[in-house]
Amino acid sequence: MGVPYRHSFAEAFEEKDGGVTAVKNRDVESSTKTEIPEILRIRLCAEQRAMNAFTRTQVGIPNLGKICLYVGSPDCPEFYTWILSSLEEQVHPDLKPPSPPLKEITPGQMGNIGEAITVLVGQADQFANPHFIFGVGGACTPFSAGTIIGLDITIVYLDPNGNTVNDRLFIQEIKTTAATQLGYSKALIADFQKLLDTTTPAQSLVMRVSSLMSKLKFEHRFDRQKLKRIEDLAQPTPANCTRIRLLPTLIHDRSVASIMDLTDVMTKIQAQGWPKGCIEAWSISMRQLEQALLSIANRVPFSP
Amino acid sequence: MSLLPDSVDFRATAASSAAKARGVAPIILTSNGLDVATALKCMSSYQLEETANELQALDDENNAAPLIAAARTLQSTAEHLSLSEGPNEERFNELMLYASVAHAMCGNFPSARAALEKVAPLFQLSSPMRYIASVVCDSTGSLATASKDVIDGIEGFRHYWFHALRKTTSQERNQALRQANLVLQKVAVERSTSGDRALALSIEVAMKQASRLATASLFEMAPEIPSWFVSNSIQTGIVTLLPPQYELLAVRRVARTTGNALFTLPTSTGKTLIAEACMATASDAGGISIYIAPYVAIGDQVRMSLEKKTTGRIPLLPMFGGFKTSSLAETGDNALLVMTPERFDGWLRTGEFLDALRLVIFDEIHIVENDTRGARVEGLISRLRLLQRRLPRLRIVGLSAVLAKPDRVCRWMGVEEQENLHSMSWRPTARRVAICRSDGTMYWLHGADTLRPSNLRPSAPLSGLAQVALPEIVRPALNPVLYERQASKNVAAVAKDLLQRLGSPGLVVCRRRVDTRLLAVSLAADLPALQEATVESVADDIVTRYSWLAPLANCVRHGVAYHNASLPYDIRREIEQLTRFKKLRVVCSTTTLAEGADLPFRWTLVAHHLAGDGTPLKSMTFRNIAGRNGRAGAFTEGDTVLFENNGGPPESYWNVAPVHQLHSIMFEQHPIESTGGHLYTLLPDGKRAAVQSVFASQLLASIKENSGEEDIVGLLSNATYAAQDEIGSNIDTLLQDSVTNLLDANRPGGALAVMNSPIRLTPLGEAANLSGFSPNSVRAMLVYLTNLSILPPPSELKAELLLTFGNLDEQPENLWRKISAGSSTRHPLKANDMKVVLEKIAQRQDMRSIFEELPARKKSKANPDNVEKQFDSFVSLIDSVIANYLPWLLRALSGLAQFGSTTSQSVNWIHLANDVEASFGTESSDDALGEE
Repeated sequence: MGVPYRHSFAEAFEEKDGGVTAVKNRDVESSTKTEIPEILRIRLCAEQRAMNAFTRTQVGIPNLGKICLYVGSPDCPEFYTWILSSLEEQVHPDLKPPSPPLKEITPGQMGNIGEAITVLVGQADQFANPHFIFGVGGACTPFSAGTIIGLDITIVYLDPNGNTVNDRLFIQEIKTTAATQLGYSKALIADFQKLLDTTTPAQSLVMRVSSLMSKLKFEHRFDRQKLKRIEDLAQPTPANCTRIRLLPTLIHDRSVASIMDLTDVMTKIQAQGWPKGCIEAWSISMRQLEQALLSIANRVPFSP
Repeated sequence: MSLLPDSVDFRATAASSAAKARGVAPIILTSNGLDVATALKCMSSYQLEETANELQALDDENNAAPLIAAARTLQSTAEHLSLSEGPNEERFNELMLYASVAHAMCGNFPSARAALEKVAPLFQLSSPMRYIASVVCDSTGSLATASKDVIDGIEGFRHYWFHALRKTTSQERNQALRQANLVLQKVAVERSTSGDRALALSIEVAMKQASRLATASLFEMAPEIPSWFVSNSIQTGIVTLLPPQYELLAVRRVARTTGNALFTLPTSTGKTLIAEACMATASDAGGISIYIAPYVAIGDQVRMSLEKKTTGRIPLLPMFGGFKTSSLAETGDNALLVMTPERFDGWLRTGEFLDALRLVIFDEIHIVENDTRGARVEGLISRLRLLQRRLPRLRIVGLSAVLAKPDRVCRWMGVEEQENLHSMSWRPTARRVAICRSDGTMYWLHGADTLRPSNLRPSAPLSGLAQVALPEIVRPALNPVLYERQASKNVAAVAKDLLQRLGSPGLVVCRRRVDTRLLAVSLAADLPALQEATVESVADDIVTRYSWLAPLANCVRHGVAYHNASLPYDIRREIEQLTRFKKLRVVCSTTTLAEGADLPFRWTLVAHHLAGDGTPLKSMTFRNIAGRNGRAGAFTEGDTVLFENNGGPPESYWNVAPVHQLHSIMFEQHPIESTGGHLYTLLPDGKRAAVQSVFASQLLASIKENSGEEDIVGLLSNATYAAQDEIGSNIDTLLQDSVTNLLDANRPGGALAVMNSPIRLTPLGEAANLSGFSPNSVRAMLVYLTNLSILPPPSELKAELLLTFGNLDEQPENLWRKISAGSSTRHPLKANDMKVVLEKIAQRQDMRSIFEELPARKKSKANPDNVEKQFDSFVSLIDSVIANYLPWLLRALSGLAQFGSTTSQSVNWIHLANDVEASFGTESSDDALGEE
């Protein structure tokens, strides 16, 4: 049985010489709703990683952590072009742009594109090192209207020297909104809350990690030692999740300031009991975001 | 070998969720989310276990504690949430499925099956991964044994899994396992949601556990066990062994070892299969193996189980009931026998095929400390120990679920502790214990549970207080009858509370038969009718066959039954059958059912902390009762609640039963005591005489079995368990007195034995031995037989015998002892009534009408309650005195008549005995084999 889906551009990976290398494209049917997150690496080529189409500014929030502000560089048009070309590079040749072009996009597709943008930004910036193992949800189907239930992005880092103290699990939840008010950002609080205070097993952090481990074991043949290191990262109480980093991420219109909202989000996530210093919020912004996302969905140039 | 960080306090969350599932505040409150997260962490920590050693390490409950906690916590949370937050089927099913997988991960497949039973079938079919989980957790269920895949996308998983557990060679099984695993991987990677995929690694561990524990592994790992036995076991649905069974049969190879052995394993850990495997192995190449069952109900279960596993390969013969010396002429010297101790005693005294005796298994060996029955079992084992000197191929095995400090028993049985004492604490189900005080406050304790934190005592509370609203105030009273009804209502209130908290079916263990009936009536009055076809049909049937049991039928219609020895045999079996299929809500019984049968009760309420004789309940009895509920495969947990019941005589109380004394009933552990040990002198007169008679009779048998021995008293005395008593034994004196009696030529009938260096039995002694009675009783019979000159009609003769021999030590009924002695009693049965009663029984008249027609009953103005009590004791008396004692007596007279008058020799005593048994329909199937 199984739910059919289409990876528009995702590539699976396998372990080679301690790193992660793309091995194949996938081409399967897409659907309107799926629960299948995928472990992949969107392979940004070296040129694209080096294109420097955005900048990161860090704002320290006392007692909480920091907020990373991502904006286009030198400005939004270059950022847009880089995003579109990066996605086009990954897309399967058989997958054509929608015809006729979409006039509007669904919240689901907006979310998927937002997650894909976040993966691209992460890979071009903080998680460029091939030892970061990505598990993604909607990002693998940015051109699909369907939503994926589960964690948006999980990134596992296993210290290549075997020092498990440095092992990390990054959990990135993303909200994409073109609204002029960022109240939607509060949904990020619940996303993290449910990881550790749920009575539904499949939603819990530990089982999310188990799911990741299954995939890594059965498909990517990770050895037991590495799997055990991944297993060790998730604990039942937030206070004990010392090697987990939370990345609440807001993708929004550049005309709206996000620091206050993200600070509020961080404060409330911190109050769930997570260790100090484990939260890093991201703000990724672009002017005319709604139109930009629609243009990405239609895979056409746009200058925000 | 905990794989968890110290910060994961799985014991706290397991205790908390257990309390919450019972509707009681936990001692340490944890959130439901934390409970679930902790449980899942426990599972995930073990989901990379893969080597045989790692998996086998989980057979040790200490190692598997996190997984055990995970399974229990998930299930408790599911139950708690469905009670507190209302139904959420998806969540309930998911939690239960995870619980099932967690049980399977530690090789506890009965509990995996029991948890899975609560998962909605549609949920099991809702995705390929859930389907696979269901098939692995219940490898004999309908999904696992379907002829084709029930849903798409499974790619024959069911087929591969079937063979992974059943193929004869490990190579074939491993090949099938690999294929099943490939399907699992494919489903995980390609056809699973994130949530489903999260289960995959845990299922993989469960699959490896099942493969390791496959019953089929015995084909190669324990080739001494006949392959037909293994095949038949698999056919009957035992496709995986429980960890103790695997350890004992496949690793320690107990079926091939030859020394005496003692197995102390908790209830529901599969002792019976182990015993059966030993029997099949011992008798496969010829020889006789015997299973001694303390209760007919247990014996019957073993017989049925053995029947399926032997399928006629070796003749199987059940021999139940009282003392009788049957012959095995038709089965010959290759047979499997299931016997009561009395029947075994009778057979052993014949000496028939003794050289072919290979194995004798004593189930519930702890009954050694139970009055005359215990003395007989002690005598039997002691005799077998002596026989082993000339029967080197004979092996004795003891089984017990509650034996504490077994070293003394090992010394007695000649069990090499290092090699052949097999003590394991692994249990398939959680055994919860609780106390309900006389004011209605109820709380659960940690007890001896695996998950009890090491710094806590068993009596440490697991939960806060729940309050049961007891409707009546009951105080100890000089005449406890005054409070009988009120006490019953209070017990009913506790039972109803448990029904609500824990579900059904429940068992209420009562002190006396009358209590079972009063309580059932009280409970039924408050519960709605079940409106269930099977139950209605049984209720109708009860009324049709036994009109006086209309109140029981009414109880049954409301899902309640009482079960005691006063009920006709067939009715008791029907109530057991209804219980087996979980058709009843509550069964109220005396301890006989609680100790005897293996029935699926979710909980047990011990309605009184006093035993039937007014003394505090024995700790071992309590543990035995507590072990009975929460049967493996039917439930994952079983709760036993001890009620501090104030109903009863004041002298039975220890200053209103302080709580530590309730704890001692629940948790104290002493070695079992011999009735001939230091406690002998503390027994009441009647019991002491009865015990002495049993030992005297065993001595008689020993003389015969050990002819040529110079010092039989010393020999037997040293072989008894009493000789192991460190405080002091009375057995030597007791046996010495008996020898003096045997040798006394001046007593009626003359000497039963002569000291001819060595001692040997006279012809009279030989006959006495085969009678099974004590020398004193035999002499009393000889007096009667010698003087018998006029032969009365059969009923009159039987009545005369019962009156004449009403005071023999072997006569089991105190009431009859009084009646036959002419003492005044309030009971309507009088000595003169016996002849008529016997005639009516011969005519198969029903018990109630016989009772109602007793002259004193007709005149009586006793209130209905008292009438029912009198009827209970009447039925009990008829059963023990007429149905059991009288045939034994008649057979003894048959053997002794040759030493009596000519008239006594003209009587066909055996025919009379058979007639009596025929009136009760108790002729056993082996009667056709003839009698010695």
